[in-house]
Amino acid sequence: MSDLFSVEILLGILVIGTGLSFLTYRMKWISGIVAFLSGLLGAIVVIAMGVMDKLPEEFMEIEFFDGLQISLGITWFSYLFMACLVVLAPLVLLYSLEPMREKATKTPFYGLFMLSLLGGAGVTMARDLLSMFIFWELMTWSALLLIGNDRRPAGRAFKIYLGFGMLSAGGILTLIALVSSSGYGMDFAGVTASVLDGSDGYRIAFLVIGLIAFGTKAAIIPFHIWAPEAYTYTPDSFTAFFSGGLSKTGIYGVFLVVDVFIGMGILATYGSWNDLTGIGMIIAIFGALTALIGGMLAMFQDDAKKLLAYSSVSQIGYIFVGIGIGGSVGTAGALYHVLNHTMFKAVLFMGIGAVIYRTGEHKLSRMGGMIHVMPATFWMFLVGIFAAAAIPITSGLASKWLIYEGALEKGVGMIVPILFLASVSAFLYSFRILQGGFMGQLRDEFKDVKEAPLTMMIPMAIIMIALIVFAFIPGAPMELISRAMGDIGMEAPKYSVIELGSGVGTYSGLVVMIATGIGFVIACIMFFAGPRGRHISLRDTFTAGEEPMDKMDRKFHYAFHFYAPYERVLKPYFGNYIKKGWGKVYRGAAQVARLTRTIFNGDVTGYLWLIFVSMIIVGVILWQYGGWF
Amino acid sequence: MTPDPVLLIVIPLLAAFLTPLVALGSKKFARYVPLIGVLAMGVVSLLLLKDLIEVQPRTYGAYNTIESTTGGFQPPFGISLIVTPLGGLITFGMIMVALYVLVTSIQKKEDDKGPWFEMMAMMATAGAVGMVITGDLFNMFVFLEITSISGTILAALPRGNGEKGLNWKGAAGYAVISALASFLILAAIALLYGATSTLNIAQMAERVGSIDTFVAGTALLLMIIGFGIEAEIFPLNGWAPEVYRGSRWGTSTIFSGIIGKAGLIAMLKVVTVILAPALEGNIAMDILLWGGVITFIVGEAAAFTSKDLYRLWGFSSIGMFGLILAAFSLGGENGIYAAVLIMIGHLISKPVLFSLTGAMRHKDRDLPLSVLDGLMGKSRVTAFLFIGAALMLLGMPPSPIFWGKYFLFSGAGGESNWLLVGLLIVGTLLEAGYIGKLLWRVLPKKEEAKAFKLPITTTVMALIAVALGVLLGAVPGLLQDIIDLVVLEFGGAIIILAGVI
Amino acid sequence: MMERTTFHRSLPAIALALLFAATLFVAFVEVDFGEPRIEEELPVNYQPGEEIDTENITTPGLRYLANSSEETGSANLVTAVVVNYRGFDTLGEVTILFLAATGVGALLSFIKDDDEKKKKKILPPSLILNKGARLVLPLIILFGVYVFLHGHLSPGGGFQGGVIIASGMLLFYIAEPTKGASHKVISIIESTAGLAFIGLGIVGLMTASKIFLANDFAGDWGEVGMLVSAGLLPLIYIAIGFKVGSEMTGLVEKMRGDGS
Repeated sequence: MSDLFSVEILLGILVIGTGLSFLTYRMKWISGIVAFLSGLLGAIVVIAMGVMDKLPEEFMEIEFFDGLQISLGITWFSYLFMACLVVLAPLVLLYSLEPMREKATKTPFYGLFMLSLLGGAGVTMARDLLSMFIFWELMTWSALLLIGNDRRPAGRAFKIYLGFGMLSAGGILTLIALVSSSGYGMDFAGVTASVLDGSDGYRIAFLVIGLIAFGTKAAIIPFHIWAPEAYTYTPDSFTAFFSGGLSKTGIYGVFLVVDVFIGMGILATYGSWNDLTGIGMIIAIFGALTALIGGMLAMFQDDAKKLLAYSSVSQIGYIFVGIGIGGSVGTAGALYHVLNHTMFKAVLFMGIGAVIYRTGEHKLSRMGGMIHVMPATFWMFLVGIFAAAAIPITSGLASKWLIYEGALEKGVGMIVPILFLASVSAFLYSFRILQGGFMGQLRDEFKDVKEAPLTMMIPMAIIMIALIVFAFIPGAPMELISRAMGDIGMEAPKYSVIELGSGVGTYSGLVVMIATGIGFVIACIMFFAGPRGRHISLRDTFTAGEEPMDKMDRKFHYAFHFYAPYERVLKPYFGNYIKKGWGKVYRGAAQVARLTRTIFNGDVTGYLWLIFVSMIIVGVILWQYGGWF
Repeated sequence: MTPDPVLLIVIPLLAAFLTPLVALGSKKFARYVPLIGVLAMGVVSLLLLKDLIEVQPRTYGAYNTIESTTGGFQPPFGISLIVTPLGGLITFGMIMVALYVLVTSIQKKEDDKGPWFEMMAMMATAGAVGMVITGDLFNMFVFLEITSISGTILAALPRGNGEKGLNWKGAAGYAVISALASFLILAAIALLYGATSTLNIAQMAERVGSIDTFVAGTALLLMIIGFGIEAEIFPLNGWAPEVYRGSRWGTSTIFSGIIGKAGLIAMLKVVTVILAPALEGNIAMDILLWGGVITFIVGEAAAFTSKDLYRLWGFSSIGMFGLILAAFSLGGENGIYAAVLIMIGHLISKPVLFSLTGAMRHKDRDLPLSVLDGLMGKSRVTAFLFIGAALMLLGMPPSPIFWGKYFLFSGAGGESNWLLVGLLIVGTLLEAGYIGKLLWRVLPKKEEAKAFKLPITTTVMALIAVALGVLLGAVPGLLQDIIDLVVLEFGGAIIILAGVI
Repeated sequence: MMERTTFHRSLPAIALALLFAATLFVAFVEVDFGEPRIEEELPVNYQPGEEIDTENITTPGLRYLANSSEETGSANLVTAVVVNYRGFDTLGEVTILFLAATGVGALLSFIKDDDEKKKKKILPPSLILNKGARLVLPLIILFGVYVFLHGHLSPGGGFQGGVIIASGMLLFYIAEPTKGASHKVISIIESTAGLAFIGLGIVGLMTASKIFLANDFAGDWGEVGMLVSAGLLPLIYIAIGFKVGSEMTGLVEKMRGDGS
């Protein structure tokens, strides 16, 4: 039985699933079902592995050359991240079956989906830099090929994702080169040893390059540009997995760089700020800024998916703060937020994806009133919003609480206001998408819109239940987190099934839920016992009872340019400076590249000149350095 | 049973002389004669390669060579051919590329009024093989001439794509510049012969110590420039984009897979075996290293800005030549592994890309990138082959080039040559840029270009090539034996690894 | 748009060319052409042509000087080197010529020529040329055959003889603009001669030394200096003579462009 829980089996399931999905891509239903079943099988194996505490003990080794082999294995730390991917996948695959039924025959959607899952899972299972790089490439390129709807800006999204994806891959290659220069092996133990033995320059270089490489994938400023583009212009069903699952590999990499390869111990030797290491402070500040900027930009978006994408960027900023703060509470908070973000981002993208599927609209200003026709979707979406905004009754509160506590514990209170502002913006954009998508006036043409199909609702319901249940028992995810932290040599904060403890205070899930419940009951009592109002239709409200002469299908609710006042004030500070900056970099590079056209201009005499000039140059080099004469 | 390497030359010459005879009878059947010749060459080359790998060398740590002499006298009095591991591998690779081109040409659309394309293709291959396996310096020059002339004719042949005329610009440019290259190389040979009184490469390597430094330096300069021209190294490669731009796809494949490679290997042979030891420091290898890197970046940058698909692949080939040269010059186990793997990956993927491009007919001489739009929607097989080969070229696993780039970065890092690492990254980014651009166009679009139906030969050969590439990428251990032998071969020749500038 | 290159515009090019030439000049001057590299190889006061023991000689040139007539059977040292010691190169050169001629023919077939115009413009040759050519042509061809037949005895050989024949044919073409040799015949001779060359090489593969282009019969057929001597060498030169002759003739023919 324990042989069932081996890396080979899991890898095998994923590989076969990928292959079959590719082969059957022309058959409408079959491809999706094949993908879903293999994803489900993989998820079952992974869940069983964790629940029964039977992580494989041995690494799987693949030898490519004599003396060059890669190893794959599952430790508790990598398990946490891998579970995010592998357990989420079948949910999203089930969700995608209906909307992708028609579109999936043009491109191998499920094949690429499974390939990206294989890549992502492989990254978390990698035990050395080379295997990580191999699976990283698979993951990046399969997601890339999924970009591209019929929407025109998709081309730009493709190029931007390509650019940053290559930046990330290039970073990993540079890390490989760096480790190679140290003489140590590429396996994780060797990398750690190389940092231990390395000079200051080596360590700093490793840190910076590692942060750039993995931070790009995690979408930290200033490398976050690709996320809103890529998440918006992939098929809606994939975005839930893309943002909920695959982005975690970037975080995983950052964790590896900061906590495993380098370790807080070494970082502490480079200065400190209160109780925090200097470098940790820098990371935390970057995280806080990302949270703030992401949140602000999310507020101004009209495209529903783009708003959620910026929200993702913002949430990852929180995780970064947790990593930067470090220690037991901060790291636990970061890891908990990883789990939470996977869940609520997925349900949010799924929810809005259902609306888009049913209505065909992407822009919030053109949606509205969906609560009337898609109530179930609304409730599940609402739970997701609560989790994102860290409102009680969902487990989203626990992770944010841990991060705040960690900041206070380490005495870096100045980060807290920035995070607070970010949270405010989180509330604002959450409200925006809730209001814009579901509340307000329902357009006439959407009156007959059906509720989301069952295959889409089941995954959302599962996640919603999970979010609520974990609110009661935050100890359950903490169990996993503590094992993961133990794996990298850290101790988790104290916890019980229903309580979490930090150095500063305690969070009791049960108490919070009971308090919320009591408050809700009180509100209900007040609502039902108080004087009843009269139900007036929205339209009457908007038109103040007047009957307009012409068609009634006008939008009266506030939808367009929603936060215009804030935008006016904040745009000068939060305008797309970073994006424009990168644009300049690209254009500059393209200009330089165009120089080559002037060289290769078809003039043979010119080429002959080049040849003779090269002769002179080589001659001079030989003279100066080669002892020619 | 080890065949005599001289067969690698005798067979194509026989076929070449036979072809016009057969053409007098049946022009159609005459086109198959070169194909049969190349097939025979392939068999010989495969047997030679097998022997190189399997037969245990007499002394431990040595590598096998298979020798053949001509004229009845032992070297250095007679001309000899030596098949070394690298030589055997490259020869086999080049012959396979030629086979690809010739098989696919069975269904070619161009009317050449005779078997001229096929014959010149075979002779270019024969010349290239000769350059690689010869042990005599002047013999190398003779084969260089054979290659050049065949190449010129190949470049001149019309594309048959609405373009009826000959490719004057490309062919004339190549003719003039390769004539210059031949002159430079000949002058260098004259100097070296005068200084050492022998033309045998091995004997010359023994006597190299007695060459006056000025003479050696001049000869090195001439050789680097001369062979650099043939190997499409920047800034000597101005002729190449013109050839790629105007020739038919088969010619471009031969230039990028056969002619350029031969120039590269010949340059490495001459420089490392004879000349580098004659000068102080490691200057020769450093020049080659940085020349290679610059070629890589310029090639990829030019490909990035190309608006014509033929030129794009041509510049991409130039970039690859630079990368391979840099890898060889870097040396060490990592460098040699990288160079061989990248070379193999390039030999497999480029012919596929060129042949698919060639199947896309267009009314203009230039093939705009928009022919690819929405290919995946219309011609699925073409699209998948295209994507597969393009990603193989870029180095997405599984691909031999993936492993090659890994070793290259490991090697560069191992040398702590950070400038090299940085430049390699820049080049790789550029490469990803244009490959990405092409892939974007291939994905299904609203406005689609017309569908292209591939001839069966092209489809079959392309499938075989892509499958082979994927296999070698996934199980690269298959190549380990031969690459280890090549490492041994270079271990003797590259004495010091190239250092930081 | 052509512009005349003024002198000062071409100054940089001239300077570059001078620099290049100077460098080459100095390099060539540095080289002691012809001096033995290794002292021990020759006895003191060696004279070329002297009989010496060649066991210790490692330099090719010296050995050729010393041993060529015994080893190859050819009285002409140049022929010995060209056809025997370095016969492989000669095969390559022949191939180059073949490729060039065939290639030119192949490319020319893509160019439509307006031979009607050309034919009208051809001036008829003078009487002296016409009749004189008929007298001289057989002598030229005979001379050419003599040269390539005696390649192993006197200066000359296949290439030279072939070119002589071709120049004779050129004279013929000038004298008789409307006549020509049949392309088919030229092609057949060309290819057959080439095949013969290779065939003779393969003979070497089958004789005692099992080496391509070996000349194992060198000592067996006659003595040095006789017409029948030097083994396969004269046969090879005959093949070369035919090949070069027909090739150059064909080249001239194609240039003339009579369209067939």
